[in-house]
Amino acid sequence: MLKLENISKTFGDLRAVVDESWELADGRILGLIGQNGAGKSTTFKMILNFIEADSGQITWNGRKIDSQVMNEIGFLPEERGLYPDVKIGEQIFYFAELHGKSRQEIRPKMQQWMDKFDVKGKLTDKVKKLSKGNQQKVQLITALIHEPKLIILDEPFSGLDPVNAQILLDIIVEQKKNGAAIIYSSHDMNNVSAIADDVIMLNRGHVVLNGETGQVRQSFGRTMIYLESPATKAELSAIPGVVSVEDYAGGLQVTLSDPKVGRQVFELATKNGYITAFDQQPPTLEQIFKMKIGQDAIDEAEKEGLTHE
Amino acid sequence: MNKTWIVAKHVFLKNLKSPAYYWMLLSPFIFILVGIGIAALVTNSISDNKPSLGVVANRQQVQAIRASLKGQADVRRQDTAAQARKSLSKEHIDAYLTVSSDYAKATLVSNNKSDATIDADTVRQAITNLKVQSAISSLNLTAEQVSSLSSPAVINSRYVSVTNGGTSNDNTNRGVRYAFAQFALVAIFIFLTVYVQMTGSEVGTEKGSRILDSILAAVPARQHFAGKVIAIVSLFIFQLIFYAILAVIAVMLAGPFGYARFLNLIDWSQLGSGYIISTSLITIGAIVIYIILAAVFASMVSRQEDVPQSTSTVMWVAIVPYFLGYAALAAANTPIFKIISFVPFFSQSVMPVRMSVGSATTLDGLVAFGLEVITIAIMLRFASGIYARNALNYDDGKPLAKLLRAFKKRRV
Repeated sequence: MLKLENISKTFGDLRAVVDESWELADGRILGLIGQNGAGKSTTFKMILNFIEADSGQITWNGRKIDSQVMNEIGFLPEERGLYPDVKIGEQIFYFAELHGKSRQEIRPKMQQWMDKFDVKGKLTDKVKKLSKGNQQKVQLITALIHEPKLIILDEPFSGLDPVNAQILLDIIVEQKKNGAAIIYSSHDMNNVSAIADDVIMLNRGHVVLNGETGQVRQSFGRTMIYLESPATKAELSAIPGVVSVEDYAGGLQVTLSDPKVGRQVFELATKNGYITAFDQQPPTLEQIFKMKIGQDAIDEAEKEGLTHE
Repeated sequence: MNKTWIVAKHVFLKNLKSPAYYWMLLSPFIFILVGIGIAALVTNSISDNKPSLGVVANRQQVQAIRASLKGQADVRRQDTAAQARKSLSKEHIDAYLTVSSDYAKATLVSNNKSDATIDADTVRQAITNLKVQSAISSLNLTAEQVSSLSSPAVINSRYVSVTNGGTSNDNTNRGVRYAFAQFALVAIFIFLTVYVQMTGSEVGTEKGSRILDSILAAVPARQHFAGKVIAIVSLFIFQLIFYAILAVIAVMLAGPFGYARFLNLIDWSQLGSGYIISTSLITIGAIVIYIILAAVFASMVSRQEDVPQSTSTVMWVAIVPYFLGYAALAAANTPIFKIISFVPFFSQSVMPVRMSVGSATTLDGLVAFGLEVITIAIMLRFASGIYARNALNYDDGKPLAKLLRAFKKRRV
């Protein structure tokens, strides 16, 4: 189990992380979300011992992160990088050895991982021969081949097309089934919703949301309706408790102040009988993200320049 | 295997497999061969292009001058000065010389646009010798007397070691050591240049390409730093061993290939094993010190393109002892050089020079090496801390300013 207890970090006048506390159990996936400069990467850097927290402590199974614990961690940094002139196989060997694995242990798995990620290249190719996407896959292999118990992925989906993003999602779920604790940050809330068991939202260094993904969404109530019906925007907006009505994916997105108002919307929408869609759901993570952080907060943070990732 | 050694092995093998490393190993020999080739070409072209010198004098004198300038000028007799002038103006000759019968007066007139020029000093020396011989022969002396008068004085030179008010013989051939010290000065500076740049490139490239983030998630920064330093020092030692093997092969082939006589021109035994060992140790120590320094500076760059800037700072530090070494060749016994020869960062240039001229002993050299080892131990401790602090710091800023900032912080 990974445990962060009252972690704080400042850089000069900048409060990058403020009193951050959470836990992640084995076999669970945690999505860490927040706008640029919210403190996601600073959190990762403190877990990985790249920087020292000003206060609080971080432990893995009750132990501080030391050289031995590092063998159990797999990390994909946001900024990707490999040795361009070194062969793919040699790079995988190197990172596996740095994580305490022998070449004999790794050799039989290398081609399997290359196939799993569908890397377009051979183990004997130099990295510079690969496309950027395939280089990223090789880097993911270097982060995962030693079968880490704690996997930290900083924006793993950035730069991947939808097909490769799905491959990665599948692999993350597979690692979870193998018992690994996984944290990843992503700007794409759909990816977080799809597989994250838990979600933590950071805003300017503060934890503003923390819980199981489903529960977090449910806690906001079923205030979002997707509707495909003859009812007009004006008719829907006239219902008390309807906050907004917007065009969305060929239908209408109705935002409610109270889930109970959904009944009135349903009655209006079906007054003439059959309709093709009425889906009342809690807000998506993206909608929650916008609600919690708000455009004003984002604008303010950018203007002040006082946040750091 | 310890993670430090895994890093060391990886960096060592990565460079060993790189064509650039082999070019670095072999390029001195290639450039030496090219230099020898160019020198041979120049020598040939010069020998084929001897200046022609017209001499206005009697036949005996012309023969004597021809003998004196053999190999240096093509001597042709001219009947009169007017004929010589004419030959010069038509460029049949490059210069002409008029000589009085007793060699007391001579005039050399040269064409300043001629391809082949004759050296006036050479002519002056030849005429002076002929003048002396002419004077001696007019005294009706015996052959032994003539030989005695014209042969140079014999001067025996030896050095003694002055210790505790007494003296003892010092049989070292300083010429060989002196030449070796001059060679070592240049060689050490070249080694420093190569390995400082290699270190800068190793550290700066990893940082600039952001691969360091992945590496430091697996290995603590201090261990990574130590591994890199070990690898680069190993590459240097590999280079020394490679050159030593080449030298042994060259000596073994000297007989069969017929160049042993050139090797035997130098009395290699005069170098002495103590001198060679202590100079080699001091050089290795200096390389380690400068590698550590270069790694620290390179860890402070944020972008790959800034790496040359960081290594140039280290090279400016290295160039000071290089020039001090040349100054020490002329004044090895002055107190300032005695002190500097023990100071790490400088000793690699000054101590071998002092030892070569007998101003320092092998023991002094070993003491200088010992001081380097202590410096390396201290530097490793501090430098790995600075490296750990800066390795993942991508702030813009000049390396020197960052270094000073790192020293100001409490926990380095």
